[in-house]
Amino acid sequence: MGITVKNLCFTYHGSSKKVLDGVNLKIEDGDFIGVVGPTGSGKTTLLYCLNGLIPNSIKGKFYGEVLVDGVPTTSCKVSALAKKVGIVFQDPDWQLFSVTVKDEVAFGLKNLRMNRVEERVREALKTVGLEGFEDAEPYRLSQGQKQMLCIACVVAMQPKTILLDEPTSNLDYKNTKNVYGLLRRLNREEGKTIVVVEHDTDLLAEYAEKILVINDGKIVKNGSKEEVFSDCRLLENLGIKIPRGWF
Amino acid sequence: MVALSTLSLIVGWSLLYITPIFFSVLASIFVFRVYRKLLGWLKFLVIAGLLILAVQTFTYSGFGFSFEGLFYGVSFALRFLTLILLVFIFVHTTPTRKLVEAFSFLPYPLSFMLMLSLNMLPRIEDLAKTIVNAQKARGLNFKTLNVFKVYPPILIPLLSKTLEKSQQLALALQTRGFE
Repeated sequence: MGITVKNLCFTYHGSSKKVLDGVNLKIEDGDFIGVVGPTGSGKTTLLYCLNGLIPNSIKGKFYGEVLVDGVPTTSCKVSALAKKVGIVFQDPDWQLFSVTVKDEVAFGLKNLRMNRVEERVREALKTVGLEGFEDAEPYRLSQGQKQMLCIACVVAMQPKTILLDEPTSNLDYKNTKNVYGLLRRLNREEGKTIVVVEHDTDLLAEYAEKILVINDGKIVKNGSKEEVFSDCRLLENLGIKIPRGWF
Repeated sequence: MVALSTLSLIVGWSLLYITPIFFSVLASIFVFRVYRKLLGWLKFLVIAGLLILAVQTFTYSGFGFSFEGLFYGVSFALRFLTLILLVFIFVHTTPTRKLVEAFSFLPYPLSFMLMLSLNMLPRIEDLAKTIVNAQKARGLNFKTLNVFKVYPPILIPLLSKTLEKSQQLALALQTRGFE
């Protein structure tokens, strides 16, 4: 079923600028989409709309419709949507809060009253390669491990779609590769839909399949990576780096 | 001679009850190997102790020196230090996990709130360090004792950043099914 966005407009409370302005979008199951655009163009806001944080938790003027599996996000709670759409926020330090890695992953499962908690925790940690860290303190992990743990927390809830907001902005090259390798595995082997906001177009050229270019709250271009990255003039105008080997 | 014997009597009395406790606490600092961490606080503790002693000594019976004041001064200073050292040992020998487990008899939202705030402390501490370094790099003079000049440039960014991050944390909790 995927996620359908129909004519979405959003203005944050207390501001007059339309952060999203007439966005129409269809995300199919199994897509690997990279979202690019200048800072402040509404990438993060779009992600928040896709999993119902907007308008359920973040208030503002919301027009249009976001349908997750055919159900509008306005009619269900964020916690209910968490089973379908998971999100990894930008800063790992402020989304990890538990005393142990095990508890961190189990937190969402317990809240959603899922069964087989222990087993799912083990599976999720195995998927991201954090076996053996069950009793470690999340805050003491390395940056790369923290990011992997954030992903594990989402993967454990087994949503169909995973949204990531600049997952590699403070990681070194090796960990960045690890994260994207994991995303590719989740996408190809488990059929998860991945939507990732990323500044590094080289990475997207390598891993993503579709690219979404956003500027000033509007979708400027939406298509396969070949289609988008060959439009050098558009990327140049928006100040987006053209990936190596595409010009 | 009389003065000396009076003094020894006073000191003896004041030390009688509190001293054994104080020294056992002091000894446990070494038993639990937390003395290295204590070094940074030593100056503060000594100053605070002396301050209590001085205030008690000179204000106990009107303004002016009195032996009773000294008696209570020593006693209170030792009590104060005992308490501080006990808390110090407790904090540095108890992992957050154990502390949270001890409070698990509370209703879930309360114990969760406690766990959350205890776990967020190191992050806020790190944030404060970053802000202090940033302000130092921009020439904020920490040697002046003028609290109105030193604290606002640290507390205001710390508070606004913490509020901002706490909102993000709230979003993260919601997306993990917490209501």
